[in-house]
Amino acid sequence: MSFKVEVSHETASRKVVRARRPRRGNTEDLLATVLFAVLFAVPSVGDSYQVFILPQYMLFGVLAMSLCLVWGLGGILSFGQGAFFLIGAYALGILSTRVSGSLGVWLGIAVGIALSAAVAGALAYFLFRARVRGSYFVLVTLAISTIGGVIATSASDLTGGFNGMFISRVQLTVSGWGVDLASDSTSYYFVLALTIGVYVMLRWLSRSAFGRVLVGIRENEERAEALGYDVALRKTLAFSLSAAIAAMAGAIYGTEAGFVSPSLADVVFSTSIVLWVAIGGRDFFLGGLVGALAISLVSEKLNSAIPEYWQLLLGVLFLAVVIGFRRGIVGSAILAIDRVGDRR
Amino acid sequence: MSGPLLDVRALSKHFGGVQAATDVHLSVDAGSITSVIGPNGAGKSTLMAMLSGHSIPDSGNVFYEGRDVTKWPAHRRASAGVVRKFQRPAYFPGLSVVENLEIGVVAAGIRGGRAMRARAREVADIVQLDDARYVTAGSLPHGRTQWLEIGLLLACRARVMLLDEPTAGMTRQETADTATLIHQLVHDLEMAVVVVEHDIDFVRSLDSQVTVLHLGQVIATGSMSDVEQDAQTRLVYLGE
Ligand SMILES: Nc1ncnc2c1ncn2[C@@H]1O[C@H](COP(=O)(O)OP(=O)(O)OP(=O)(O)O)[C@@H](O)[C@H]1O
Ligand SMILES: [Mg+2]
Repeated sequence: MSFKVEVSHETASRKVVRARRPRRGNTEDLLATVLFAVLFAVPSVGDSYQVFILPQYMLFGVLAMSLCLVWGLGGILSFGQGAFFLIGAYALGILSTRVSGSLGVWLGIAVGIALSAAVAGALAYFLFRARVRGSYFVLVTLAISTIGGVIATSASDLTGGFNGMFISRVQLTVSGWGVDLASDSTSYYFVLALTIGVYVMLRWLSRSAFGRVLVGIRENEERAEALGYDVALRKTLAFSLSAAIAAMAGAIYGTEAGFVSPSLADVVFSTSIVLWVAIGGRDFFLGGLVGALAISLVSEKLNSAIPEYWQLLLGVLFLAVVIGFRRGIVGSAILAIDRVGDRR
Repeated sequence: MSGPLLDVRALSKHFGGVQAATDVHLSVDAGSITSVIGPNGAGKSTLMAMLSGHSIPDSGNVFYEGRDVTKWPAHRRASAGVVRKFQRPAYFPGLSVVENLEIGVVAAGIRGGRAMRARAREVADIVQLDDARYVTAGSLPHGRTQWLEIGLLLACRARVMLLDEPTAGMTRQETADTATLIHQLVHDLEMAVVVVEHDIDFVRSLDSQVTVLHLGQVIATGSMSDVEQDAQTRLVYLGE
């Protein structure tokens, strides 16, 4: 561009608030590295129960990150993540017992992911094209969970119905090479690697052109559309990808926990996922991950010690975040660190 | 290319009993400014909406580069180059100025961090926001958010800019600067600009073709001094 417009400005309106480029994102990655290092060390210093239970919580963390993708980046709140998690777990459970060998396992994972992505994509496309958004869309996602639970309960030949279904620990092998999830420590490192992989992928996505546009849609959908973006299509892609990630986490969760039941799609679990993300901080994938891990760990302790009060405490915490603490605990911490960094 | 860049033929649109546009014609060439004036409720924003694809006319056609785009949705028209600045502010308030502009830059098909940043910076220079690149857009003074929106349109490589009341809420100096900016965009980038405005001094300084709308109908066209001589315009609009 060769020209410079020769115009004057009132100095008052040209107050420079911040002259330097803020180093956004590095803090989150730094803290995530610390978290992953700690998790990596757990099997060598912790007890066997922690090695058994933490992978399940990490998979809750992956599930929470799938919600951060749609809610944090895209501004689309979903109570349907539990249903996609459930689809992933059942698909693995059903296919790994009916189709023998590693084919059944891979088929289970693939079908769960594909089915979730397809259901989410078809439904979202239809709704977003019709400009359904905000609380109306939230209601639809609640219905997705309810319907998922109903199907899981009623198709008892396949799913074991209300009683749920047991899934044995599977082996993930490709032509003889692979991991045997039967061993707690092997599956621990496998799930940790998966969690790190999903985190890195989502962080990359959030910096990509797609991620930026998704944030634009969250900030002002009408403006994004009027700049030339097919917002319905982009929101659909985000929702479908998030369902795929939830289903993948669900499949591995099924084999890790060894058991899956329709309760994964009930209102309590769907709400828990939203709670993890809200309390951790929906604007950051680390917020969702830490929210899921921390609340699951604390829940486990306090649920047995003070069952009634713990639920109440969680409720109060949620209210506090919703009312005055929109960025969540991890989100606020990251922003506070950034602010100190900017000032120096 | 022969013929006008944007050719509007016999657009009509009603909302219930309100006739918001009746047989409106408009022809816009590359490298030109077209001003649309008229009292409140004359149908100026409705016309802009039909040009941008936010509203589909009851009858009539919109041609862009010779193609009939009447039924194209807004996002498709915008990516073809017809981009609208709304009457009310519309940008990404929670993001910094560069982040705003980068979203526009991506719409132009530019990819890769470095290329995106470089182009966003160029655009920030043009709309005089170079000193405010890392400021959260929502905290900019009102006049500068109007320029940010023009920057968004520039970033996504608009060829036709539809500006609905671009100087609303601006100081007199900012208004004058905006006229200069529009002249520069038209002159240097061969851009076509359609401006809806109430500020008659501003429209005069644009020195453009003027279309006067009243109750959905075109009642006069010509230069500003032509339409100022027009009896009907004086009556309904200038209040004489
Ligand atoms: N979506 C709509 N539904 C119903 N009526 C509408 C709608 N949009 C516009 N109108 C009506 O159409 C007429 C033209 O409105 P329009 O917004 O185009 O006017 P305008 O010239 O832009 O006015 P202003 O100077 O106040 O912005 C008005 O009578 C308005 O009430
Ligand atoms: Mg208007």
